[in-house]
Amino acid sequence: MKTPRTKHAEESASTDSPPEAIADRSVTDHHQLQDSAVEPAQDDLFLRPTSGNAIPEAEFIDRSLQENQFWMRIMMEHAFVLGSALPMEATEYRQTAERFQKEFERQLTRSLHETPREQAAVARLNSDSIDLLKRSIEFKEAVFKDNVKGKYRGFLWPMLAEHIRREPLYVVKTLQRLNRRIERPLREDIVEENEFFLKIMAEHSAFLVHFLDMNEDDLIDVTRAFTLKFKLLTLTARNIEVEPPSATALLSHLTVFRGATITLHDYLAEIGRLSAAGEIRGILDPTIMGHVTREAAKYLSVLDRLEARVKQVQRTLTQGAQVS
Amino acid sequence: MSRMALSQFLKGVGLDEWDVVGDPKLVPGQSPGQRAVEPKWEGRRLTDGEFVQKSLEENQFWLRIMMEHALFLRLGLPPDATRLINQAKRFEQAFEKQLERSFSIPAEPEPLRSLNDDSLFLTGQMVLYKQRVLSRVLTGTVRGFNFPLLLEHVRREAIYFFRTLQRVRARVERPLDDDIIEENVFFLRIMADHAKFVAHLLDPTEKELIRQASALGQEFDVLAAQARNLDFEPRSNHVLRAQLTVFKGSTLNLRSFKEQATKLVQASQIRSVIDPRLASHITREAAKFLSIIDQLEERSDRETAQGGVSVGPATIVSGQPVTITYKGLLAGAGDRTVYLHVGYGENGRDWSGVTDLEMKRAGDGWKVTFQTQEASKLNFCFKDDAGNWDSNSGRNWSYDMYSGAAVEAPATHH
Repeated sequence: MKTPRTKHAEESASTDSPPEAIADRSVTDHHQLQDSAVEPAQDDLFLRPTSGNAIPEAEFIDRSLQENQFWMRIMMEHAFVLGSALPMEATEYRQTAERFQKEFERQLTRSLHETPREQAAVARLNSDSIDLLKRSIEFKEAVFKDNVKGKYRGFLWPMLAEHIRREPLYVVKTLQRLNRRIERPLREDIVEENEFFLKIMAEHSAFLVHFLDMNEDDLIDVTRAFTLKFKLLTLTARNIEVEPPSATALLSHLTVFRGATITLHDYLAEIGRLSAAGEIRGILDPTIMGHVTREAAKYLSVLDRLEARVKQVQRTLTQGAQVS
Repeated sequence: MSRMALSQFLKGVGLDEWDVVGDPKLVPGQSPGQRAVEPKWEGRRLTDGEFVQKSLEENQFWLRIMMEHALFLRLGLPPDATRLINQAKRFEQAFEKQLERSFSIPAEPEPLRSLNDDSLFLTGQMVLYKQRVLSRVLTGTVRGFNFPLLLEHVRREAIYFFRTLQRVRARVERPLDDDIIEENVFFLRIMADHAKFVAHLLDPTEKELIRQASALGQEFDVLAAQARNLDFEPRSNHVLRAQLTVFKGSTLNLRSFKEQATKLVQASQIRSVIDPRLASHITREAAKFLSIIDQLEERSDRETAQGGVSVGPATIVSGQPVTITYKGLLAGAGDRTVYLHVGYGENGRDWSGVTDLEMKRAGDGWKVTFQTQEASKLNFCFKDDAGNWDSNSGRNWSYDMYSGAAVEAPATHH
């Protein structure tokens, strides 16, 4: 137990350290990690021992690039939203937001075109993204505080400011885990990913209600229904954890989430099309509609990954049963 | 601001290049010869004193509203819409100056006439500006945070102010029933919009307040529809008066909601993107509506008294006695006798239980007390024994009756 613990300590201290330290680990397959190498879920009161897998090299590169390419664009758009929703007199914040927008754009280009598919380069990309995100989190926190105090209202709804602040926290955690090649245990993965994304979906529909014109009564009703549905699903996501559920139960939960998200995705896409064509009244910006539609699509891809994991575990279990 | 300064202002804003400058109803005094559509006004002529008072009242209230509209539109425009933003700024300044002028002007007809003319001019331009922003937002060429309903709303208010001032300038007071219906149709819709704005600008987490604001929005939607439905013939003052009370009750509610919201917004105790200036703006408009309702009520009382009819008790219970006093057209008819021609049921259709009751002289008028029948409505008019009729210009007098004798043994009276 001693060796892995110290090793883990070193690693976590050097999350952003030169990637050679990581590269020398010859990880080629999903192999079981020691519990101590994987931090327990933050809200796990009993600090139950967890067990996760190590991520193989190819998957590390793929997923890192994917996450960066997706989230850097999202962050860039968040900076744009902050910049335009803040009132004119918040000059300093607006300028900072603009700077962040450029920095994220730069990082996005880097992840799209300038990163070779090598462990070291990808790990460096990840840690630079983490730095940038951490700085933007501080900025967003400051904006949120002034916004909720009523100092700078503009058209930045406090819930929107909070939402924008929450997403980078998730991205930082995800990238940090990737850089340490940790794939969380399935139970934790499935609960936290779903809880995060379902909440995001609920908030997106809640914002949409407020961005539609007050006279779009029908659309407002439909959108409210989405909000309510996703709020309930968010609670359901927690419930998965209550007892060790069977693969069938997990898969059916995932299917429910997927069904709801497909509907929401198509709805958002349709609203985006209609508002770009000027057929819906409201203050919907086409960029923002594209943004929320893409996040719904991202959630669908996360669901794919989780489903594949469940199925794989299921396969392993049945094979084990056949052997014995 | 003089007319000269105004046209300078117009040049500065650059409105004269716009293609929308065209509606002759909206742009006064362009070229007097060609002004084909001069609205026809019906109603009583205002005295000098009334003209002065009304002019001051309307200008002092609405010019401020217009100034704030320019401000709100500016805040909602995206930073790259520089031209529209600059125009909004010019309007803000122009309305501010005009507002100051309306407070320092001597209270005499002549200066006020020119004040009205300038306000009309400025407001006409403001309507066009708002129209332009609205069509830009609807086509998506300008985005920002101005909701289409908000733009329509401010445009509607500018048009209302414009028409009201036109009427004041023509020194006309609308007939009471028209006035009651049109003012209420306008203001109830405004109140509904306000409630919807509040619901939308609150943070999505403020569930309870959003629920209250949406409920108020729906309530006022219904009331506005109800007010439009009042536009029937014949109009009974009694029904109009009862409706006014309903509107007043709801508006009092709405105003205290807005007052609360304003206080909370100012102290940052609720999560929202409501500007404190917007909150106090809509609270002031609710107060304006309440003062208009008060004026209408007073006028209604005065005119009923002038029509010469009073009915007691105020709430008529069917089957109970009622007293009608008449000092109207036929009251001074020498030694002739006046009769009350009374019937029951819906006014405008055949009345049932029609009887003529002889009235007794009482002071300078006539009076009769009688037992009503069981019915929903009491209708009457007056005649004298020379065959002259006073039918309230063909509308008759019509009052709702409430049934209240359910507990008593059957009491039918004739």
